Amino acid sequence: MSLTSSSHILTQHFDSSEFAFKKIDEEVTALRGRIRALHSFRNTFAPIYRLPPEILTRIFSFISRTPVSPEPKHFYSQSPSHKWLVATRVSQRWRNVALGSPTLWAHISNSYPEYIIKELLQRSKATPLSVRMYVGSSQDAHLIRTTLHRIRDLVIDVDSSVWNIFWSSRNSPAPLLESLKISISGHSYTPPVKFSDSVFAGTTPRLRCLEITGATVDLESSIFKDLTVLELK
Amino acid sequence: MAAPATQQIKIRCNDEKEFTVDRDVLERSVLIKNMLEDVTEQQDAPIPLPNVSGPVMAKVLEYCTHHRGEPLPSADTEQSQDETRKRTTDISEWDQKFITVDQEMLFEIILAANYLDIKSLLDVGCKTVANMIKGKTPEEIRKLFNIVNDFTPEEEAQIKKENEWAEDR
Repeated sequence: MSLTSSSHILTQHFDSSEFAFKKIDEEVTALRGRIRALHSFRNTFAPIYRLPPEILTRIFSFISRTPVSPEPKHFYSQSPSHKWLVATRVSQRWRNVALGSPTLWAHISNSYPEYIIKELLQRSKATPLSVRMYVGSSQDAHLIRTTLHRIRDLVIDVDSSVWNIFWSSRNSPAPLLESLKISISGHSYTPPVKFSDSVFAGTTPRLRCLEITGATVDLESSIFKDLTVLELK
Repeated sequence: MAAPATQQIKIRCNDEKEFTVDRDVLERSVLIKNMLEDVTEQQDAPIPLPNVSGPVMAKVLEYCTHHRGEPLPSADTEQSQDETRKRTTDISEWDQKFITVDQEMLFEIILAANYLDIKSLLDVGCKTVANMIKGKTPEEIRKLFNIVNDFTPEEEAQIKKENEWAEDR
């Protein structure tokens, strides 16, 4: 039914303007929905819509791999660009593909607001995480501790004032951890880092790369036995 | 002394177009490589490729001929590249010139590379599309790919809110 004909019916049968508003608003909403459906249908004829979701995801991941800055001020800030998110604002299909690809959301940095980190943790589902962050507060240390079981790649700059709080997370297992890069900065005294056999609850079966900057390290630990890269600065 | 003759393989595309190609060129495609390994006796019948047309296959073969002899990426290297995120959107000069085609052909090459399992060509195609998207607004991207906005105003508001934090990054 066209808007003109329905307006005519409304004028004929309803005196209450409130009821007329309601009916017209309903019709406008339905028409908007119809237009949106037509737009979605039109999009299916665009050549790029021939690409299946897994290829679109690959394209988005290439955009996300572009570092934020070619020479970041801090090594932990070399997190992937989230400029790719523009792709989630193009069309419903692109957005649905992105939301359905947990790997795209698995890069966490505490330069993001807390609600975004929560959203990223949720959208990345069970995908191993890549975390790059500055640990300057107990909240930051808490974030590491609570997600350690999911982290595959951890690059952090820990402020020496919160070192002890951060290091308490060493009792949590890190079953997926493959690469750990820790830099300790600040002016507070930090005792030598002791990698005892119980570090990360003795569970780092995949750890191959360890880089530590700004700390004294006790090398008497089985954590070092499978490493292929060890850098102490 | 003449060099040993390279085995020639015949393929047939979905438009009946046939190509006779050196085996090592065709083996850039993991799909075809596996097919050839499964066949013990020499066959004269062309290998059917129902998902690729002649013009697209001609482009794919141009790529495979240029890159013949280069090591194929193993599953390990693929995974390790992925993990370290060392893959950028850089494309070599020759590849860039090769992939300078219209959008229709670009997407057909990507689809063919995916079907034929030619990872390096798939990446060249995907990186090219990624580079086309980078730095553009949603509206510019829509215009570029002939897409229209099919979000409801409510969805748009939600998306905008979600993305505000990322815009300055």
